Order: sequence, then C-alpha cells, then structure tokens
Amino acid sequence: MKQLKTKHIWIIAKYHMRFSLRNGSGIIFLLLAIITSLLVSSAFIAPAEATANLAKSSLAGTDQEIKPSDFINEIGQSKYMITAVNWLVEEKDQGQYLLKEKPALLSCIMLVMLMLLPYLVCFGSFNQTSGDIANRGLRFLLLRTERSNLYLGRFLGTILFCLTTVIITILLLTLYIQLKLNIYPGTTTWLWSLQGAAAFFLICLPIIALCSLISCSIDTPFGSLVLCLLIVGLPSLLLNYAGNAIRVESLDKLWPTGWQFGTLNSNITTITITTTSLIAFTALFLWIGIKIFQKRDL
Amino acid sequence: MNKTTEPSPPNLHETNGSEQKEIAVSFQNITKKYGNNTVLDNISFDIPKNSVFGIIGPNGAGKTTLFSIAAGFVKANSGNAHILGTNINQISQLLGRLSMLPQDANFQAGIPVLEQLIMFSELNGMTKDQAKHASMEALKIVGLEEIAKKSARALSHGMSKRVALCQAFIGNPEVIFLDEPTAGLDPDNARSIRELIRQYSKNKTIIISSHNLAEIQNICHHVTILDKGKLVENSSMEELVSAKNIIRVELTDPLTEQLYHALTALHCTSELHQTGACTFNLTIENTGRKEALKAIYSTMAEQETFPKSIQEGESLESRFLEVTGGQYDGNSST
Repeated sequence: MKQLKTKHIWIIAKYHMRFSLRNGSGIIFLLLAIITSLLVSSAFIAPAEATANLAKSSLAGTDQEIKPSDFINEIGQSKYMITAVNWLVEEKDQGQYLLKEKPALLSCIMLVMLMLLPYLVCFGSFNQTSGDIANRGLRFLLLRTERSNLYLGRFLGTILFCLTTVIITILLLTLYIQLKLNIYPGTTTWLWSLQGAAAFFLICLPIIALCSLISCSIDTPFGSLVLCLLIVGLPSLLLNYAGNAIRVESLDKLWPTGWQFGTLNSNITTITITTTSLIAFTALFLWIGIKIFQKRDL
Repeated sequence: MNKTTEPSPPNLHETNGSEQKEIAVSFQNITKKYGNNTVLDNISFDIPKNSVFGIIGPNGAGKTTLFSIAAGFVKANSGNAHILGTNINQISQLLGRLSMLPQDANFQAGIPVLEQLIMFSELNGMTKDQAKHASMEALKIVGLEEIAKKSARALSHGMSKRVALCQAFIGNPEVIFLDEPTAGLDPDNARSIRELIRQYSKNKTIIISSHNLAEIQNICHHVTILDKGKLVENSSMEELVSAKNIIRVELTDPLTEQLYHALTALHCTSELHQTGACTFNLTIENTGRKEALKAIYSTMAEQETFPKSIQEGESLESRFLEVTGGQYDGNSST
C-alpha cells in the first residue's frame, strides 16, 4: 500500500466522525443502538422483575431473609432466558456459563444485541464514501491525499464513532439493569459489561469493513444501505441452511456473523480464535475495499 | 511504499524552434474509453509553466475527462500525465502544489463551509490555526466571509461555485485546474471570478476549461481545442487568433451591396466573408495592417457607413468553428 500517511488518516477520521454526526447518519445509528438496547433490556427485565416479585411474594410472611442472590438463581433458570440462550448459542457449556456463572439478565441482553448489532451498525457505516462519490465531493479531497488514506481515514472515523456508540449503549444497558433491578454484584456486572463492550466492538469491526467495501463500490447511499443489510444477513442464513442440508458443522463460520457469540465464552481459546477470525475478516474486507477504491473512477 | 521508477518527462517545452519554456503539465498519449466510446483519443500536449491555459471544445469533447485524469479522479486506459515533473500516479507528492475546481462537485451538505475548508487546509499540511486563517482569508477573497459558518446546504449555486473556487486557491498552489469556473453564474459573478483568476494568475499555472470562448480569449495565453476526444488545435492565443490576416468588422447597420463591392475592390483585401447581417471578416493581403485599416476606414466613410467595432485577427469563436466544423453551443458574451 503506497503513501499511507498517519496524519492524513487521522485528520480524515476526525472530520468524518464529526461530519457523520452532523449529517445525520451517525445520529441515526446512535439512536437506533440506544433505543434497541433499551427495548431489548426492558423485554428481558419485565419478566425478570415478575420472577423477582414472585419469589418475594412466596417468601412473604416467612422469617426467611430475602437475598438478591435468590433472585439471581430464579432469574437465571427462568424458562424464557434458557430458551433465548439456547436459541442463540449452540454450545450447551457456553449457555450454562452465560446463565449461571455470569449475570444471566445481562448475558441475554448482550446476546440479543450481538445478534442485532451487525444490522444496526450498517446504518452508521453504509455511507462512508458512496454519498461523496455520488455528489463528487470526494474530488475536493483526492488532490490532497492518497486514496488509501481517504479510505482508511473514513473507516477509522466510523470505527471510532461505533466505539463511542458501543460504550454509550453498554453504559446505558448496565445502568438500566442496575437501577431497575439491583440484584447483581456491581463489580461482576461491570466487568461482564466490559467484556460485552469488547464483544460488541469486535463484531462491529468486520461489518464496518464490509460496509466500507460496499460503500466504495456503489454510487448511491440508499443502494449501499440496502446492499449492506442484505450482504451482512443473507450469507449467514444461506451458510446455515447449506450447513444443515449437507450436514457440515460450522459452515456459518465462513462469514463474520458466524462468530457473533464466540467472544462471550468461558474458554479463552474460543475467545482468541473468535477475535482472530473477526480481525482477519476485517483485514480481508479492508484489503479488497482499498483495492477497489484505488482502481475505480471517482 | 512503492516508488515508480519511470523517468520524469523532460521539463522543457520548445517553442519557435529556439525558445524553451518550463513545462507545468504534460499529457502524453492519453486515451480514455468508456465501453466502446472513446472519450479521449491519444491526446498529447504540454502546458507551459506560469501561463493561463484554456481548454475548449464542444459538449462531450473530453475536457472534463482530461481534467479528471490530470487530477487522478479517473484512470486513463493508456498514456501518461505529469504535473510539475511528477507522475500523476504519485499525486500525493504534489501535496499543496496542485489544486482543482472540479465541475459539479458538491460540499458536504450539512457541514459549515469554514469547517470543510479547514479540513482541506489541514490536509494541505497546515496546522489547525494556519488552516483557519488561510480558509478565512480565502473566503474573504471570494467575498464570502459572512457565510463561513453556514452549512453548504444554505449556499446558492453562485456561492457554492465561489467557495469551490476559493478552496482551489487555498495554500497558494502552483498549478490550478478550473473546470468551467463561470458556468451557471450570473454575469456579475462570472466577471468577479474572471477578475479573481486574472489577479491570482501571477506565478501560477492556471488551466481553464470553458464554453465561454470570449472568456478564454480574454484570460488565456494558450489554448487547446478538443473535438470528439481528439486534439484539433494547440497553440498560443496570439498565434491562434492571428493565424490569418483577418480584420473583423461589426457595423451599426447591415452590410450593403455597395459597401461589399467597395471593400472587395480594395487592393489590400482578398476576401470578404459575411458572418452576420452586420458582421463580416476581411482577409487582407500582406500589404501591412496599418494601410489596410486606413483603406477600410476611408471606404466605409465614403459609403457613410460606420463601424461599431473593428478588430484585428480571427476571433476564437470563428477559429473554434473552423476547426471543429460545427455549431458553437456556448456563451461568448457573459
């Protein structure tokens, strides 16, 4: 890759982050992420509250002391949580780990968010270059820096914006759970949230790189958004279907969404392999994207 | 980081056999095709340093494509271009020395103009403070300092064009490409932009593409005419418009038959070509321009006909029509 300039990449990233917030696409992504996380949280918290209330009422009138840990077990073993975890996570060990060893409520919310995030992140990254290619706005920049700097700068800007969104989302999520249903020990919850934030961020990386690639290949922002959403979701569905049809396990691992939940695991090897795979997907999409961007007419 | 080992072209341009000028931009055998459509066909010419160079041609002649290739927006199918001795494939080496007013390029709609200019200046290598100062100065030059904090969406077409022009002048670049700088502007705005170009053309190479032939004739020292992707004319403006011994006459009234005969009977004229009801071109013999002009004036006076204007040399418009063999669809008066 020729003429990479860190300073240029940083300038472009900084302004892209700021501009995407002002232009609306960043705000839409931020709001979508916050609203979705709160909706998912309330969907899980409401039955959890009911379970806690039921447990409380069953102990009412007895001399037994009511401890938050009693509710933790009740909630962790509730049917809807087990169903949700089993639906999303194939490995039984991982399911048990998420429900028993970690704050189950937070685990479930994070799993659902991990499932939705690849689609949500498309809204924040579909227009990295397509809009400016369409209105030829990139031409003001192309004489001032190399195409690769421009591409990587916009990618980095989107990543930074996504990281900010992830942090805000996870903070809100955890605070919401802690304030609404104060049943988990603070340190455990915040540490688990931190791992969740890392998992969120890691799954966003290849998706943003994929969106960069699509965005630089398509001249219309709307077309780019539609393609991003389709290309993020369809291959994993097809690979899952094909895997079941030909009885080949883990065929879905050929696409980033196949690694969605691997980072919320007790096994450090699984976490390492998942992280490496997601970063490798990111690098691959970035490489292809830069090649396309360098060759195409702008 | 790769470096192309291809040698730079000779940086000298030979004119009139002996005089040598430095070359700012050099196009060598540029060909660009979109599918089966050849937009530029083996174009080669040089642009001398510190000159104002005009590129004209009918719609679809390939002017904007040539600009786009020079700026690296579009890749040529074959051929090479060098700017200030640097291959355009390594355009970043020209950072700050080259700028462009691209045709139909838009600023980011919701972002204040000043902020966008600051970003461009920072990419040109300035610090944030320098960038802010340079951007404000550039806005002042085009008379738009009051819209600095307005978003690009709020600008009129004329304002956008002036801001686009102002970004091209930020940082004092050596080579500036201006693609249709006055297109779509009212006469007032167009005039102020022409003035600006004249004012800032000292020690700079400015390359202008335009439909406005009068504008090109007024501003440019050199001109290249493209037609259907081919280079049909390339010379200095002086050579081009005085290529023939022509005197252009515009009368207050239509040309009469008597005057026609009187003028063609003059020993110093060889041909009268009527270009309009009141306009005609006289081809004069090599008897000296002064004498010819004297004879023409007195003949007209005898016929009690008064000229509105008499200009020596061929107009760029007529030369343009001659070499392109077509209709002029531009505006020559704004």
